[in-house]
Amino acid sequence: MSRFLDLTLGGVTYGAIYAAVALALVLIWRATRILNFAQGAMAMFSTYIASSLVERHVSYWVALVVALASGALIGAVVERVVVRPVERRPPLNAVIVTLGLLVAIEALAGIIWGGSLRSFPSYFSQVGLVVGRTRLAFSHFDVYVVCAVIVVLLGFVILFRFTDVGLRMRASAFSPEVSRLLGVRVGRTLTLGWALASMVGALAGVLAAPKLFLGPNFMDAVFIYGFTAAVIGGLESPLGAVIGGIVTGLSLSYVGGYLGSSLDALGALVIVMIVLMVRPRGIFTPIAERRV
Amino acid sequence: MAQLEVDGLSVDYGAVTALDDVSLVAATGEITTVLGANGAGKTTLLRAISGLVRARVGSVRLDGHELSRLPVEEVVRRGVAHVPEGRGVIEELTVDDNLRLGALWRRRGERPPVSEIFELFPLLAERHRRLAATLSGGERQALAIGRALMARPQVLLLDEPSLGLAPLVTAQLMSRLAALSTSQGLTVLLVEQNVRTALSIASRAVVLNLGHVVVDDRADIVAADADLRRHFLGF
Repeated sequence: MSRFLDLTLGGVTYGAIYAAVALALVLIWRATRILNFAQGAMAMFSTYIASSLVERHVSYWVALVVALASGALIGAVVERVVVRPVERRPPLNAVIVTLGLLVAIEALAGIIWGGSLRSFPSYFSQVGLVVGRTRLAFSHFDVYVVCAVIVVLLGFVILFRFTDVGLRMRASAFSPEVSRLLGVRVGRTLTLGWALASMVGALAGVLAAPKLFLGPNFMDAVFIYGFTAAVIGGLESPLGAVIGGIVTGLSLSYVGGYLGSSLDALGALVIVMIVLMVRPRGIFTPIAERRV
Repeated sequence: MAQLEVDGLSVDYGAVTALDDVSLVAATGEITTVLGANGAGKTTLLRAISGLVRARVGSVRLDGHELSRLPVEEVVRRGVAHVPEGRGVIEELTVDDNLRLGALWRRRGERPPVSEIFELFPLLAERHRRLAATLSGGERQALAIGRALMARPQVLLLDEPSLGLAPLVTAQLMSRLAALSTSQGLTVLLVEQNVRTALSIASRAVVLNLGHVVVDDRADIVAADADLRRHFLGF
């Protein structure tokens, strides 16, 4: 029983990190119908920037803010320079472009910071919390990770539901031409969407780095599981992305714990297959109503 | 005063000429209807006015100010609101959100309240929290027009508002439009397939054929001209 609890708690933290990556993917998918395969690499780059600052004895929180800002900036630049020319073109163009970007950013990080792995501080203790006389597989850092992702999710819910910017973003995503006729500056709105999404991606990078080791491709696996989470959630709903993330984190934790850690990736694949067989549009996408 | 002048407008789609040297004036507070068969260039004319397609040559002016080089999202800021064909309500948003969207470009204090539109179209008030996807055809048209009015435009471009509506609903809609135009001094450019109804509320009619203006006259004169009706309007 305690093993089950440990695996569950361990899965929740990783799930939160996958959820953050999935959120970033969903935001960009909703806005531009593009799957950003470079999301993990962009996050890695921001994490390196944070890491360089921390090594120069800058406070963790300042480094975090800089990482988020750099994430937003990278997202905006990528949208304007790389993605805009392939928007409204065949989807394969965007796939190739973001895959190319993934390779380019990882190579660039290797050139700047070298290929060897480095550790990244977690700020909060990674020693398990003690409840009664048992030590849980859940640390202060894990609490921080889960809370950070919940705060981000709530932030997006508020942004989309209750603000003018959110309404503009939703309208631009659903119907760009009509939005422009209504005076929405759709181009600017899309850039903002990419910036926000990449900021969440950068957060995922900074949260994942202490649990893994920082290296040019340390986000590759996290990206794949985040992608799994986004697909489970249906690619449309931020809440779906987060629940998809937790489901993925838990499943991988159980598969790794009970069946052996070499089966992780296979586990993710099986989940995606099952979800796509049962609900091809993902769990949280409403089944499209018949259009009159 | 809000007079829309189109002068020598030509639009090409690749090798095909959709509009050829089209000129017309939509006078302040009047309804000008643009008639013609499918493919005559009616929709292209509206799309060129609002900037969705670029004209090869020609100009579009509102009270003398050039609009034709502006990006689409600026044209509404100058006072021209375009209700596109097929109504263009955003189905995934609620009625409220669709309406709010119409005035979002204005500063916070200058946005008209959504209730203004509900007074005009009471049916929408009952459904204000529902998704636009759940509305009937007539309700969608009311929403699309109401949303355009949220911008407090001087000129309203309407692309086939009666498309797919029952005759009774169309009649109601047209009389609303006529009332709006008179009461608010709104200039309306109305593209219609429903020739009879359009001529009955318009003061001026322009007939397009294969991208050319073939008739530009008072609506009652066009309605009375039997030859013209047979040749270009099919009734």
